[in-house]
Amino acid sequence: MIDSLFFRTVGRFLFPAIWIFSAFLFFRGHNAPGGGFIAGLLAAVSFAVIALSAGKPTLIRVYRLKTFTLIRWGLLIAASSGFIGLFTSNAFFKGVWADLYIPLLGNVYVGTPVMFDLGVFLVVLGIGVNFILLLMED
Amino acid sequence: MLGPILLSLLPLGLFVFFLGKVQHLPAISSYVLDWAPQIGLTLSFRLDALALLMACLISGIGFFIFIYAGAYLKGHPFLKRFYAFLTLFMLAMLGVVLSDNLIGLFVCWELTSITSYLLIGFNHESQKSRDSALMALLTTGIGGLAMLAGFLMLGSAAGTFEISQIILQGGALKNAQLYPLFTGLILLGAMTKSAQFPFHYWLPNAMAGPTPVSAYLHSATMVKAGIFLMARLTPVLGGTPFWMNTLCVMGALTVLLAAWMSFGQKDIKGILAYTTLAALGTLTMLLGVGTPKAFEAFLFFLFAHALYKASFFMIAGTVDHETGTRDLSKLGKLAKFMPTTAWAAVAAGIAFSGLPPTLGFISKELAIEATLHGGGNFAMAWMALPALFIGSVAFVYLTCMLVHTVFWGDALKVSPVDASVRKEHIHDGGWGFYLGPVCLAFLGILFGLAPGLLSHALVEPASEALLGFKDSYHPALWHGLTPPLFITVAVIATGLVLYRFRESIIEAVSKITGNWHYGIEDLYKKKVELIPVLSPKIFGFFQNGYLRKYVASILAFTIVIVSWPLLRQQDWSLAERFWNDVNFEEIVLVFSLVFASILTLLSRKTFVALAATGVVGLGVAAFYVLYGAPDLAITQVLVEALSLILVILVLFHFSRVSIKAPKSFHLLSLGLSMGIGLLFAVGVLLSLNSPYFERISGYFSENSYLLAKGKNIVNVILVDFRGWDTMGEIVVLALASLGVYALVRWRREGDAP
Repeated sequence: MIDSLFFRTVGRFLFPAIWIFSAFLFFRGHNAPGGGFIAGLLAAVSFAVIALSAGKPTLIRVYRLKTFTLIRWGLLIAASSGFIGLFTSNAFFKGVWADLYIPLLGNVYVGTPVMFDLGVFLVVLGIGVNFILLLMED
Repeated sequence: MLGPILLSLLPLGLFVFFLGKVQHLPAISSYVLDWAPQIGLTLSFRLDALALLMACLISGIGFFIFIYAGAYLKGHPFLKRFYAFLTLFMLAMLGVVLSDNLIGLFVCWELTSITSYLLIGFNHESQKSRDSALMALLTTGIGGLAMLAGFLMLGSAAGTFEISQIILQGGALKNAQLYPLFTGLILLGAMTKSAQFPFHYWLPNAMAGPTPVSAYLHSATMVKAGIFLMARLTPVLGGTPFWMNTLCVMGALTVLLAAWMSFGQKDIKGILAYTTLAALGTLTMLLGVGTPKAFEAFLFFLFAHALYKASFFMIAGTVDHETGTRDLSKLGKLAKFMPTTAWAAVAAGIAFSGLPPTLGFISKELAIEATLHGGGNFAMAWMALPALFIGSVAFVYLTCMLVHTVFWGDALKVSPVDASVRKEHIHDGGWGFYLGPVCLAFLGILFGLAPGLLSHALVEPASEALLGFKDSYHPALWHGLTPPLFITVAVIATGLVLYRFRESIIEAVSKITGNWHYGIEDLYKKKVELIPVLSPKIFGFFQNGYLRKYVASILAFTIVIVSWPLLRQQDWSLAERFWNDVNFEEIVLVFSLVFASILTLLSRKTFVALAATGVVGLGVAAFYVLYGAPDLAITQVLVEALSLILVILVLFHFSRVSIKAPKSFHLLSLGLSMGIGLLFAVGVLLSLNSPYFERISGYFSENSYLLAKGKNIVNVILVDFRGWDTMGEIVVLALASLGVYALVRWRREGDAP
């Protein structure tokens, strides 16, 4: 870790900021540059900031999950999104869309590709944090 | 017990579903789903009579196994994991029998291999269990690969992978040029799975798994998959001398070998394992004989064997569970402690030994009749009938052993003599223990008394799938004084006489061939031991432990393989627009990239070099922005940032380690880098000539919003149009991180080489 008071203080605020930006990138991904892969990388960077500014014990405390939890769930979610298409439209990975009305947001298109993207996001994030955790051990 | 009961509702529900389909039978339901239509893969399922017969056995016996496992493994710390494996295994097995696509069938086939590996090796702390599981996996896996090659040839010869359409082509494929080759490969797959000689060795070892697993594997699943496949493809591949002779000879050899080996067993599960081999050999033989009568016998025997073998394995498991041993020299007179189990054993034993009034008797009579009037092929009848006779004698003899010795008689006095087990706490166990054995054994008797039930509902329609035409059967317990009846009487008499001399037989057989069955097992073990010896010799050159050499060989290979088509290409003119629209930003970027690259090479300080590579990466990202690929640019920037952080973390580790490559290697890497750089530059320039890319991006930009409701084409391609690719990529990523995890952890635990 880099022992600097300035970095440590900024890191604390950077973490949620990066997450908000990551969520923004995730949701705009369908119509503008962004998406699950990029958002996952960015979220992993947010943990890298914690790792470098506050050290491994803090990272473990913030991350909380077991090593392969996110990767497992990500793969499960991505694969299940394919099965939804299989069972409703008789084709694996066929996109299925629903037009939902959500208060405040209005009409929102929700579809299996979003779910698939969420799986990609989780896998990429999980792998990024895994590498950081593994390489930080000594 | 509540968990297992709830879980067993799944096989029960499936069973009821399949029974419903049986009612409508001549009508065949099929379901077709798209799996990956671009490469002609469909998930198609077809519930015809043969598939339904198997599906009823798999789900029905599965229900009893689910209940039994709940009682047998009560309180086991990994019970949940066991049920997960068992459920997967059952579904994979159903996939094998219901699939109407050769590739779909193959995928389910391999799934049964993998899940059975997990089930046999369930007690993963025991070395024997792990070895047996690996043996089953390797043997059936290699057969499976041969079968895949056979399927591909069969599919391309037939022009389709849909089994129902291949069957419609009928005998045409028997004249195909490759017929002996693909039939041989497919039979190899089926025979390894069904443990036919000389691949029989894995099955007796597979009883290292928990008893519910053995009961399921030996009765309705796994080994029956190979038999099922042979039956399924009989109308396509069967009827030729090659097919009939192979099946008859291999089946007969398996029966003879299994009968002989079973005479020397005093482990009750061992006896059951070898009788399964004999039964499988009989089934193969009957398919080889190939007359309508033989198919009738085949289907009845398939059904009868599944019922009594499942119930016998469960009984053996209960005995093992209660007494703690499976050794016949320690067991005896258990009937008064476990009466229900004992009577279930009697009921299953009547079917096992082929006595009336059971399904076992009917199927045995039919089998003898079929081989007596076998297709006129003298050699086949000569092989099949004696094999059937000896196999049946063994069944009678072993039934006496399993029923009389264990429950009423005295423990066998064979060396080494052990003290008898204590009998204070032995009892029947809960209802979970005897529900399955009792129900299945009595079903065998019920169908024996009223064989018409089974015959009309399932066997006749199923034989149509084998024969290609409808044939009516009239199975009955009493046929009059016919030759099969005399043979049956002779079989029973011989079996009973042999049983009188059981102790000396066991001693004699195990003296002659005590380590006989290790012959082929030894061959297997030697092959497996050769792998770690040979592979360093073959792959040691490439995988020498130096990362730089790996990279060098990958790059060298890439140069050779990519420059080959490039050099052969004729049109070396560059696209015109290349020189026309070079602008100021591009020139600036090019110069900064070149400068940063040179700095990376020349700097002596690691961190300066790192920062310079970072500049190279960001420069590339800037190019992406210029050419309208913001997604790629964002990804590039983020990957650059993250990998920089990771490299810094790695450098923390190695800050005190200095590894120096020899000077000559520096020159080599310089040459390789220049080669790769040149290759890519030339490749990119030439690719501008090709109009191919515009066509494909045109399709995506036109359809992205219409079909996939997204305006960002890149992302739509990633998550929708090419979702399959992305799925593959994230799976690869996950596996890579698993590998990194193992490598880092492994080194840390200190047993690295």
